[in-house]
Amino acid sequence: MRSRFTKIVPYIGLVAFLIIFGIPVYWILLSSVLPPNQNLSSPPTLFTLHPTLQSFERALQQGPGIEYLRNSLIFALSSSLASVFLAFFAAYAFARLKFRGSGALMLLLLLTMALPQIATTIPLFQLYAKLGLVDTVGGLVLLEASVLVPMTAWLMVSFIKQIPADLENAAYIDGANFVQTIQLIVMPLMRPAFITMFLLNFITSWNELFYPLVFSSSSASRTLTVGLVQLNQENSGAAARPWDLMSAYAAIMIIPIIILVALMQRRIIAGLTAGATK
Amino acid sequence: MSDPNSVAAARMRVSASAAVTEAFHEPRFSLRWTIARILGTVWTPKKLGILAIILVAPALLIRMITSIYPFLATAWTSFTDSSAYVQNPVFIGLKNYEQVLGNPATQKALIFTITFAIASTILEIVGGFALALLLNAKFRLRSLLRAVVLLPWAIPAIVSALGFRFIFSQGSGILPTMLEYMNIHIDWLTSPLWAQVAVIMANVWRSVPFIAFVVLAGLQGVPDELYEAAKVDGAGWWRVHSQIVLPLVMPLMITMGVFMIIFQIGTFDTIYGMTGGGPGSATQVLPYLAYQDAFIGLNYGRSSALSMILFLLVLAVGVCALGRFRKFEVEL
Repeated sequence: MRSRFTKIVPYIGLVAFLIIFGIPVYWILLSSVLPPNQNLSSPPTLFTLHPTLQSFERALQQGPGIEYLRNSLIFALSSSLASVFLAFFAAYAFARLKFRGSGALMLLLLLTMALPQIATTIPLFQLYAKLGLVDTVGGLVLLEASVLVPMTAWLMVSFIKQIPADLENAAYIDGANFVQTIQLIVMPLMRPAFITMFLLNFITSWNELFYPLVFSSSSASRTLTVGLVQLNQENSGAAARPWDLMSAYAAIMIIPIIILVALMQRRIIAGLTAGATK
Repeated sequence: MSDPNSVAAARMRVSASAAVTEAFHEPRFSLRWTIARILGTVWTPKKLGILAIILVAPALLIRMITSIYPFLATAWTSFTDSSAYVQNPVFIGLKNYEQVLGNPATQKALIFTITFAIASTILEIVGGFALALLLNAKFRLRSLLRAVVLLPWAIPAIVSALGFRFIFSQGSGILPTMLEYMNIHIDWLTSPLWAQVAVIMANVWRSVPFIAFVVLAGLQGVPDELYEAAKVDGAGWWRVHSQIVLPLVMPLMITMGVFMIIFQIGTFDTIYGMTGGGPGSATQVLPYLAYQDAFIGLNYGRSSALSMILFLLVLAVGVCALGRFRKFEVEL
């Protein structure tokens, strides 16, 4: 009796958590393939036999949807790439080239994470206005890469420390210089770490709302997250909200994430937990 | 002068000045040499300082420009009457703070910010532990569960916030409809208290997976022998987990809890998307209030004061938890 009971418990938990975590995501995706008049009907539609891509067509062909998608992609890809490289170089110095004050500098870098985003925004906006960086994807990338650097650097330090230093020493003894050692020895060994950090940072910046919300004022730099918010505010009367467009935007944002999670589950989880359990 | 300390100090002075002299007369201590070393044509393992600084500089510089400098500027702005309508802001002392803290709306937002952060964190830790235990059990479809559990964390917070707005909404939302079948009637987003419950639920939904995976990593560090030894001693599932496993992962969960409180004090997306601080100001939080003051009210001084209060809140939590963070200093 007892053993049967303990065998069933995980499946009860499985079903419960699948419903709790899966249904909302499923529901958002479902809304995006419903025809506009079935969206938000009462009682709610729970499945459909006739999915349609109408709302996607409307989202990407009419209006600025395709530009938002482009901005989101450029923003997320470049922010994560830039942050991974900036963080790698800093982390290499912290992990391998012990210098005076390196501990304090690393701590400083980490402590900047505790500064609330909103507590830096007004001066940043004034600075960006002076530099002409408001409403540019480049300006946003700079901000997002910066936000990502401390955590990335901190995780990178532990990844670098896992590589035996003897490998680098051997390279130096064989006459390799610093750049060659980094390029030929360290970087190839760090590839899994690079991929993990790139994935995590891509997800974070793909999801970023606050900076584009504050710094973007046109389709030149607006991302999908801001586009979604705008659709939500477009008509404050509930019936007039473009539900079909909103669900299409939401689905366009979620689908790449689902693909990444499905393909790279292990790496993402490893990166997520690396900081807390190292 | 026979005091050994002063002798040591004198020696240090001598060696320091010798180092300076050496540095200036060192033929290789030149821009050309430095550049050569960056490019990698010269390698002297003993002199790594400059290289280290060059490697660290970009990361540090970008943080200085986009985080430390603006933060200090915000701190200064909070003591001025800066706004879109003032040409030359002047120092007005603590007036912004007095105004802000005397305002019942801010007090309410402050209280809900703290409630939101702490309630969310407690629920996340409890739920995360339960979920981690499940993920640690061996059963079929476990990897499917892992992937599905990862989704709430991975999808944009603004998407889940807007999604929950509709899930909780009357008439067409799934949750009220389901509860209606059970004859339970709750006005989720129009009653102040239930709106607060709803945003906390949505936030917990989003954050539980992260905690669960971290705790899971902790659980996987518990050696199998412990379970077996406990089993041999006749301990049941409940005893093993409450008296052996829980105490083992407790320090990890407390550390995570402190992190989550700090992060959730800065919550923006969920509130912004789900309720916009409403109904009335029931779910208003400090970051959103500061955002509204800055970019809708255009009162920079007051918004900065709010931001600084937010920062002080984070600082207070951080200082209270300092003992827990000693771990990091050791790691560095």
